[in-house]
Amino acid sequence: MKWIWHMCMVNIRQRGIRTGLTVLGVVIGVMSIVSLLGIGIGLRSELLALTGADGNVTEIRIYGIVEGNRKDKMLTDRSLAELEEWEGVSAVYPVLSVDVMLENEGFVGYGQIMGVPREYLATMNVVHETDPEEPDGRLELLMGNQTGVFFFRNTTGQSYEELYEDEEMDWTGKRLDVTFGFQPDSPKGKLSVTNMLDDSYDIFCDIDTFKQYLKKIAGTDAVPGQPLNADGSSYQEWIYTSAIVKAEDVDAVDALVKKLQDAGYQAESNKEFVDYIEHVVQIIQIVLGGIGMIALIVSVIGIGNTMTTAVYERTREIGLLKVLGCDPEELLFLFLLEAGMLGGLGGIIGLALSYGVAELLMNKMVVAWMKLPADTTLAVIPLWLAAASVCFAVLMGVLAGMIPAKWATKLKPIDAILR
Amino acid sequence: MDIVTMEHVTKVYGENDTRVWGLHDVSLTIQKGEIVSVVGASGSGKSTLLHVMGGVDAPTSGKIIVDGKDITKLNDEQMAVFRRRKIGFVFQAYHLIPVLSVEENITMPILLDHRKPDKEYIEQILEMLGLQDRRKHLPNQLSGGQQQRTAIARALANRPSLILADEPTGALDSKNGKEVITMLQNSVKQLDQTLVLITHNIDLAREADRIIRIADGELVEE
Repeated sequence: MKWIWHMCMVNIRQRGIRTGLTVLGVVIGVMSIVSLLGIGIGLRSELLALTGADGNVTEIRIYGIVEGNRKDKMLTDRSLAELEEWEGVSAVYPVLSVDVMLENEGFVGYGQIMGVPREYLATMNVVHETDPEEPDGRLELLMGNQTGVFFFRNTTGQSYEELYEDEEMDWTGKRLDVTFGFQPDSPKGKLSVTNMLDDSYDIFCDIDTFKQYLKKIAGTDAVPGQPLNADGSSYQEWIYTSAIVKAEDVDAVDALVKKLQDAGYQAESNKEFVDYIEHVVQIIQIVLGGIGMIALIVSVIGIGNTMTTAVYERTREIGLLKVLGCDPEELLFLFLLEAGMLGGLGGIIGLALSYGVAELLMNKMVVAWMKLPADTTLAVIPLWLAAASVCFAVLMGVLAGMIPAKWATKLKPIDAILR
Repeated sequence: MDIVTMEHVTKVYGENDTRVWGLHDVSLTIQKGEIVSVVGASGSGKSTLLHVMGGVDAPTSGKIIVDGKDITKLNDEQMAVFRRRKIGFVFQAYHLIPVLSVEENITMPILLDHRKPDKEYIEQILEMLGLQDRRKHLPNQLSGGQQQRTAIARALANRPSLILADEPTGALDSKNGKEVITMLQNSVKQLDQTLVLITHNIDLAREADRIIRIADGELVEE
């Protein structure tokens, strides 16, 4: 076994030009397919991130019917508990939205505060790292860092976004004057922002604290944001604005949306949109993969060609090894090992160059040239692709070497040596 | 003791109209320790005789017993084992592996037999053939005589029962040829080996214990 390894290494080293050409063939093949697939993968995640649709594809947003007598389709603790029992549903989170006017440092904004369960809040992308603290009963806001577009200076009418174009919005620690509802006598309060949410246009808070807070500021009046029944009084239970139904997995989403709609809820999911993007990306990947495939086929033919030439060129050596009494399967192994190593060497170099293409060319130069944000990743080479490409290159080498190697072992020793 | 016994060995190339007799009903025996010269015109069947004896070519019919084993009954794998353990070949064109050093070429048959080379014995062969200073050289860095001595050393490496040399001096000038043959014969004697040697050079042939003459695939006299 040791001599095979030694012969193999010596052959690869001493036959520099042949080794170089064969390896170059694999390098080109691996590089084109890995870079192109990497670009496909990078584009996909970049597109999904741009739309904010990644991650929550298993979420379905439902809205209850408040008007009319279809009280059974209102979103209450009872109806949501029922939904939670449905097959394919992993969790249901109520959302309690209240229209608010917010004021801070001369800026006025109109929007909604959405109360959601604490466990749902925990899944959000906060800007500042915080220790998870026990709720102390105070209502605190998590504010999207894109909400600047909703705030305007009450004197000039300029938006916060316009004024602080280059700055990331960060109101952490600020205390906002909040008016619940748009009536002159609407209840008012002061709320602190405890953290910012990355890439979000929403304002969230903990639903349980929110409920207590709303009750407190309403006093004997109707609770802000809660609908009234036919005779003008409040319902006995909380009526939620919407709810988030989390499906167990992506495949269950479509069926679940259909079922919810059949049951009378207005239901929508990100999945349709994500599916559309996936479809577009798939087309891009097929085109890119196709080009890579052609390069790959060319390089396989290249390896086959160089391996065949190598074997013919070494006919006498093969004959000699047979005359000296080399086992036929060891001879086969020698050639396949050599072919596999050439493939693997090409695969590793090709992979390294692919990382160069992805990181330097695509993610730095092209991003700069197209004036995209600096953290845009147009090409991503995941670990599985890296591992698969090297394995594939080895396999490709072995396959390309198979026919000439088989031929070599079938040679009659004396014919080979006298050639 | 007989090391080689050939009984009615025939080798035919081609079929029907294109039939060519390589060997025609050849029977002979070779004793252990003998040095035998095979002489004859070109195409007379000398090489064929050597090839079937060494198991690199199969006879069409007949029986060949080498060191007690009927080699006509062996399959490819058994034949490979037979060749590497029992036969040492020396060819006119040296046939060294170009990418391996002198020492590596010499130990190759031992490695092919999945054994560890016996350092002392390899040293002895290197010394006998005057190759100690050349052990790290590649074949293309050697003269023809040195290359052929390397090939002889390789043939001796596995202590085979039989050394088969096919015109080992054919590519060398007479001085180098003489030297190589002397070394070959000395080594064979010293290591108590048996040698079958094809040669055109009648002077060299005469130094053998016995001369086998061959013409048109048949033994003419012994």
